[in-house]
Amino acid sequence: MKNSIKAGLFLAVLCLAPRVAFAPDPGPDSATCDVTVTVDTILEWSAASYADIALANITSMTDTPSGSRDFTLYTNCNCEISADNTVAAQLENEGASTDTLVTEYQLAYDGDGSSATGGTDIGSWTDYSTFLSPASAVTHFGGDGVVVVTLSAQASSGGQVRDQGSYRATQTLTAAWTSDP
Amino acid sequence: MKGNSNVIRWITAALLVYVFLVCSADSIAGMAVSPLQQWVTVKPGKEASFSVTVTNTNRGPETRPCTVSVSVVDFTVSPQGRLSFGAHLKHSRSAVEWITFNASEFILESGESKEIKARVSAPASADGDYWAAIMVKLDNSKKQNKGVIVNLQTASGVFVHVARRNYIERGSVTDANVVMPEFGQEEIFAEESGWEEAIQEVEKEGAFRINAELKNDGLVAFLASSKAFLYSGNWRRAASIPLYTSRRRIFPGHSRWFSGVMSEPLPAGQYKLRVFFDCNSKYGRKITRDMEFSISDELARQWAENFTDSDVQVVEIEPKELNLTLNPGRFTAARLLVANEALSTVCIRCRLEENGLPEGWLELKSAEVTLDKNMRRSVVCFVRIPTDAQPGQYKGTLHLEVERSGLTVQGKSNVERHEIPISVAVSEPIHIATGK
Repeated sequence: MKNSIKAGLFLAVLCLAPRVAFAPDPGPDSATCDVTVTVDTILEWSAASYADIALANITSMTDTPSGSRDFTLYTNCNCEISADNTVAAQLENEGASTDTLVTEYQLAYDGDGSSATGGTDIGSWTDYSTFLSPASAVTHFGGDGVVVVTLSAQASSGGQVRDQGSYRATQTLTAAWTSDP
Repeated sequence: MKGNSNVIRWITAALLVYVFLVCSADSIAGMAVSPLQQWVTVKPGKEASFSVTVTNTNRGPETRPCTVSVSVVDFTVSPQGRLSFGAHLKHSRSAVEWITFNASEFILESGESKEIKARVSAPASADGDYWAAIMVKLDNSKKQNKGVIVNLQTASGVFVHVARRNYIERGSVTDANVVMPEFGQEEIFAEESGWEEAIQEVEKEGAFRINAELKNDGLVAFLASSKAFLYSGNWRRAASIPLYTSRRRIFPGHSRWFSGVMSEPLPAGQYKLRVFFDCNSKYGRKITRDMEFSISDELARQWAENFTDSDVQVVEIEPKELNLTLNPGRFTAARLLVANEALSTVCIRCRLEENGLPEGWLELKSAEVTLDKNMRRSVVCFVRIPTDAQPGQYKGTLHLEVERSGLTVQGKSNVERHEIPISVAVSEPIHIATGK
């Protein structure tokens, strides 16, 4: 009895929907799917492993050796860069002496914020105590998420004879949010 | 014997070349931090969680593992809007001791990402807004013995709102002054601070400046904006000046200087000045401060003679229109760059006219932006397309009303209007193609 019902159903499908029953292989189906995601604010410092600024030796009171390093800032939002204005950023004798050198900095961007992400260069040598004070604003330009930031440092003896020895300073660049919408 | 020494020499040379090549290759270490700031709401005596993600983005074979150190630090905002970080800046509304997280120092391999999960535990007595920053530092282990060592770090702000009740924004004007334009004077101030330098620079150009300091006397942060009106006799309005500050959000106990510059000359006479502060309060309460000053005949003459700023277009806007092609469900941010090319401060009020755009698709991040002279800012418009949006072309308009500092007498308008057409093309919704 059951077998006869199954056979009847099979015949009914063949009769009523022959195009389905005998249809050729439809082949691979394609499907489209929209994927959306929200990107949060991101800020990335990228630097070479040897990201220190080496300065040539000072051999006369008039020498003003300088050097620079490039850092890449990847960002999708406005931000600001500030510097350390404490004595840590001033070149100080590493030996028994506590003598210091006049330590000045500059900052440059490869974009000015109007046609590419970047900011206004600090093009004149600025003493460590006032460097990037107030902070330097980085304006994000839509579609451009990369800006090369060049930090330059310069040492001088300020017209005085400084104690001999190696001088070292630590400059910290801090990227932070701009608080306002 | 001689052959062996030759082999040793060749091996040594090869090793030296290898070491030279490896060491001279400029390896890269990177550290991406997201987000840069976030608000966390927590009830008194309860906990809430948040996270910050740190990634060493793989930028090719030269990308090296990097050591990252994370700490929670106090920060403060100076009256001039400058952020300062450090343990020595501990204050009564610090959230540093409330925040715990799962990692303080770790190594990120190339391409690796780590989510720093943090918890905020608010004491039962907490009330209002508190703040701290997550400082993420890229460790610079290759230190040299002379020169300048450079450390790179990123601060991510965490603002904790302890929701105990409804709060009223409270503020007061603690100081205000006007600075008259001076001409033919090279140096006015000897101070070295950035704020004083800014004042000095403007004064050399012969512009009128008003400075006012607003203090937050309440328990919650607010976004403040300010404007000053100048009145001649009988309180007849003579001029308006939008006031600018670098950070409009003022935290409890903090104060902030606002400054407005007007280059357009004032006629000689007695003036009253009223500064208005809007603290974005839902009750619409405004804070004011009144002052009086006078312009002498001589100053008015010099000012008029030195004035060069003609009634030209004060802001440059790029792009001139926004064309977006988006899929249903898409959320994105469209940006306009607005540059103030005038010598005076300007206020830009933004308004969306959605026309053919369904309500809620567009949202301005901020309806008002104030720009100092020679300043650029982005006007951000969020675009959110619902998942069930019908394909088609939708149009709207962004209206920008730019008000610059200047005289308002004799029907003179300091407002220029810009219209930015917005076109949103919504593509076909999700569909499954049928086979042939």
